[in-house]
Amino acid sequence: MRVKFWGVRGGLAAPGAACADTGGNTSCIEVRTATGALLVLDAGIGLYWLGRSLLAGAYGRGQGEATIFLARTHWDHIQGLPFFVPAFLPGNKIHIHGCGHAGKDLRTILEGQMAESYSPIVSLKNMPSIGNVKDVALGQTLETGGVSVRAHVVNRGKADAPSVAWRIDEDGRSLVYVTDVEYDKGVPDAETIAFAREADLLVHETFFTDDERRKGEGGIILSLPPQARRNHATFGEATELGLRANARKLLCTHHHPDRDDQTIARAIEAERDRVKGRKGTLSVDTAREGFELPV
Amino acid sequence: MRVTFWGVRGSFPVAHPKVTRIGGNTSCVALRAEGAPLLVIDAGTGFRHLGRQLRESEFAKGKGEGALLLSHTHWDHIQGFMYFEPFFKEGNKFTVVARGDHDRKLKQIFQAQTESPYFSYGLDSFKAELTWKPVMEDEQFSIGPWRISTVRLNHPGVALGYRIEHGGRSFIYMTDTAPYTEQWLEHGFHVRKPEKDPEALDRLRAHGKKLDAFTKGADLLLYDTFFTPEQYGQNPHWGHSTPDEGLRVAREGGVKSFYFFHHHPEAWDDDLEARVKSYAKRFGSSDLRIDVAREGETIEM
Repeated sequence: MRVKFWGVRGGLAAPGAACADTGGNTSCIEVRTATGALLVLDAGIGLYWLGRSLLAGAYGRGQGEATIFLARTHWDHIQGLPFFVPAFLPGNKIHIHGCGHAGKDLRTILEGQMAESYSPIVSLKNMPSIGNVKDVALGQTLETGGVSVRAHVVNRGKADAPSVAWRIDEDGRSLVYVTDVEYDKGVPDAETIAFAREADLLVHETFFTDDERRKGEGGIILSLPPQARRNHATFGEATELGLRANARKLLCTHHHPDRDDQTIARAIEAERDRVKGRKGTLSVDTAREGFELPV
Repeated sequence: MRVTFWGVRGSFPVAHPKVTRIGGNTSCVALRAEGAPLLVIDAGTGFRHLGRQLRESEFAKGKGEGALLLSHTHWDHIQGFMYFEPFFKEGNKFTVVARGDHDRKLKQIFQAQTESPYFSYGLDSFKAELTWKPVMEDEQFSIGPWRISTVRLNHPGVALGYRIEHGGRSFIYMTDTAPYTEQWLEHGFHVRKPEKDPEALDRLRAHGKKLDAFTKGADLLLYDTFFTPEQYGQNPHWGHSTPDEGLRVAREGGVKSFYFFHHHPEAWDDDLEARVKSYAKRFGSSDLRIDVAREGETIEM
């Protein structure tokens, strides 16, 4: 499979030169399977730019199909959806898989996003090419586009909406995507380690630095309530998961909107130091928008 | 009064190397005047940056007073709302003004988009005192010394334009709106359906005339120039306008300066600057100055 990053920010988009090298769009990753099927991880603003890139091909003629897998229904994971042009062109089939919460299924939550108060779309029904909208069945493996896709819920039991980690396996190669996760005491749990086991590519959020976590700082704004300073992992925790799962490559994503290119580069250097002397062959880098790689 | 542009983009924030000069944050404009409360219009992603700039001000001490006027509550106009630092400081006081008929309903719009499963904290985490003030079109009210009036704009879900006067100067914020020429936009989902009925067309155009009266003699008109005329022709039901229509309104009202605003996500710096220059050459004069709203820029009026 091939992987391309369209959005690597968390919380809010980060326009401007300071973040331009890494990229400022909220979460979105394109995955192309060997058979050419399109899978999309998260529907942040990066989805707009992915959609735009698709229009020259089958999606512009209403002959495209794609499945979007949502980690979560927080705004930074869904706000690109009403701007995904292929979903408005009749004939395309855009399926969405994700997790409902608090008695609401995924469709109800996305309907709420499109409601008249917030959007001129008014209803998901006005996006003619939205196909199946499915709540994930945990523990089940979905076969699609020649790959198997598995879901694992992180942050289970926490008050906030749970997050879904996704694993895509194709012909002995694997991609694991983990975001919006808070590990107890900052230590990745056994279930998540097992889920990420031997991943060729682990894409993991690194919203916080370890220093911010230690000091209890690092919300998007200084005086945020405590719950807004949780529900996210650090660079160190991402590396720790990669090492314990014996993953080959870690790409850090879902960066804080204030984290400029230089700060991210320094954080990556620190993680490379952390890996030295540990068992395994984990390499660490940041995900960058426009960056494409084979898995 | 002093006007600062914190966000000038429409639809969604644009993180793209081709918009770094004009800016990629969504709509937010701040108005300041000596002895007057802070006045902000729209709470797009620029609102977060405004909040951070206030770290050195009376808002950091919990002694700030301000008002937020919303053109409407579509997502690109409210997405910075939960990230405004002064909302988290006890003692600050804000009035939130938007189109509506009930303060509880107005609050509910914000409540519903800030809690789980869409967001990680809600309005109950704010420490500042917020007062919700619903207003309708053709209303006049005051916030401290600011005198404010409203006009209905032609946009799905309906938006409000604001005229703000202080110290003998007048500023007009007019986005999002389609011209009142083709289609009446209000509630529900709109498809392209140009109005054919002559009576309905007359009513539509009569409403357009209200805009001319509303802008009468204004010093500055900040206007929705989202579309080029070609783009507008394909999407008259989107509720956005063109520089041509904006400049028509400006000329009818005898406006002194006109600013392009709420830029299309793909209005790249080079193209937009060239477009503004071309309009300024064709339509600008000593009576009508034409310019583009750039993020971070302040205008002394």
